[in-house]
Amino acid sequence: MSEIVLQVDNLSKKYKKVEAVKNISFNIQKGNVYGLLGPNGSGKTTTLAMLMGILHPTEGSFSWFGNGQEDRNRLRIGCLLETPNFYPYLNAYDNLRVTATIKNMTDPKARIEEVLEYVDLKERGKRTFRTYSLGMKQRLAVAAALLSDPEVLVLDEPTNGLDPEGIAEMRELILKIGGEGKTIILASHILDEVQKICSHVVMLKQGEMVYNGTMTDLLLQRKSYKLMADEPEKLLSVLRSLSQVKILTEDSDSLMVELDDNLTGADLNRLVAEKGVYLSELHAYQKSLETIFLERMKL
Amino acid sequence: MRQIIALEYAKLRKFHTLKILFAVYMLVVPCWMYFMNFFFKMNPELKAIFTQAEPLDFPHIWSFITYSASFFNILLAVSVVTITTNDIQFKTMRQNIIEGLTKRQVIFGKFAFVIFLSTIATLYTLICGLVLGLLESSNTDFYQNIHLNALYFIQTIGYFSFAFLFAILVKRPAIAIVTFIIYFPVETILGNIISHKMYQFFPLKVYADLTPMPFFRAVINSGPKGGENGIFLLSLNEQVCLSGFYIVLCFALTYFILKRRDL
Repeated sequence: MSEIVLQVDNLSKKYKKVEAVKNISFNIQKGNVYGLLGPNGSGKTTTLAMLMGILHPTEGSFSWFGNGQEDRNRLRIGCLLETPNFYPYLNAYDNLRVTATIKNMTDPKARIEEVLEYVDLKERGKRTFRTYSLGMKQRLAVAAALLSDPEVLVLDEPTNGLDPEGIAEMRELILKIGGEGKTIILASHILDEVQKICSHVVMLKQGEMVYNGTMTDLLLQRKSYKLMADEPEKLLSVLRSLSQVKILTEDSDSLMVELDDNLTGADLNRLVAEKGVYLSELHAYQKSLETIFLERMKL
Repeated sequence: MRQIIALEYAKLRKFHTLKILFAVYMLVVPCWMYFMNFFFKMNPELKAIFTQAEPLDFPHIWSFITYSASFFNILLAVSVVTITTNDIQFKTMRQNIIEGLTKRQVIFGKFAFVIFLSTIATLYTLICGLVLGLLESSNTDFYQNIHLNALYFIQTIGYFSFAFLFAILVKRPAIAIVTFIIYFPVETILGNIISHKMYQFFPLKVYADLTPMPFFRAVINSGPKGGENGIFLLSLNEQVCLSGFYIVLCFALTYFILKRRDL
């Protein structure tokens, strides 16, 4: 089992009347890319803000690198939370110098050049932040997050405000960083992007955690199956008797079903065979993360 | 501490508002001194009532320049408010904390800035007083009353730490500046309504009395003290101690507010 970089235990945040985050617990393991998913208002940013020390949890605790909630933990994390926040009267170089000073970097000049090159901002690095487009601001924020070569990268909606080309670039960038073995926590609305990038998923709905596991498990759990048998009527009656099976559509010669999280296609084949029905076709259709996400949010 | 000073320098070295406000302060202090000198020369009867001395003569220049400069401290205090509220408004204070700065370091950073600004302001009034005195004074007794510059230093720290507290409390630049400026007359009115004696303990009054109107303390000390008809005035030592107390209180309160507040 790989090293745990973040342990979250029963974390909650309550504003006057609203409970933004309800008792969530999960672990983040080193070297994996985690997607933090949920619709607007589900508590993603609130959770990340608590983990980054700018919101006080109402209840619960978390521990970075096994050191509890110590301030110095954040020196080992690169973070882009919500919007990019920089000094508008400073250029990219000067803004990154501020970050480098906070991160206790001794000679950051070469590294600043390197990260600006990495996010393709070197040419426009001498312009003040206030003159930047949203995409440039976002890229500078990624550069700042990467500056100290952190062990963990926290990215909250990094593609916000980017055009399709910018989104594609950002996705490539995150894939590149993830490929370097960094631990990444990525909160995003763009599920296609998350499906491509993340190895693990934590799903939030109205402040509650509704899924925590690997992307593979999530996608496999939510497969639908096309079934055919020589005796379709008998198959239908057998399936109706199985509580773990949900019939989606019925055709004259085939059926589309969905299985409970703990039941596989092989299990289904065995179950119906035990009842004397033999499948002539069992075809799995993997749902996209987006479909699974929407289904989970409706539940 | 070195890291915090380096950080404040990196943030502020290109902040033009600070440069402009400081330039105005630097211009206005000597201009005001010359204006006062000219005014009293033109109105000898007023000079006889108020000062009995030449404003640019040693050692009186020290009381004149520290008293006058104390009014222009407002310009530098506005820069403290602007820098702090901008840090909140631009969410850069929040970002600094996300990147690993502690809230204690944020406060130390601002304290370092306040000390820096006060040092520069005090050195400037000292140099300004010396230059004007050497150019215009009829004598060279510059060391007498030079300690007023040290009191001016404490006073500037007091005003600026108060401005910092205001900025953290109010958060919005324009509203913070307006309420900070309005607080001056409000404290005066409130103090005089409550009681003259109590008023002497109010923070801005304590700071202001560190560099009082020239000859004010001498006039007060020559009159009746205490009692119903007398004027109550804190001793200089009491004012210095109280100023120190208010400065510590301002930074402690600011730390307490920041520590508890969600950013």
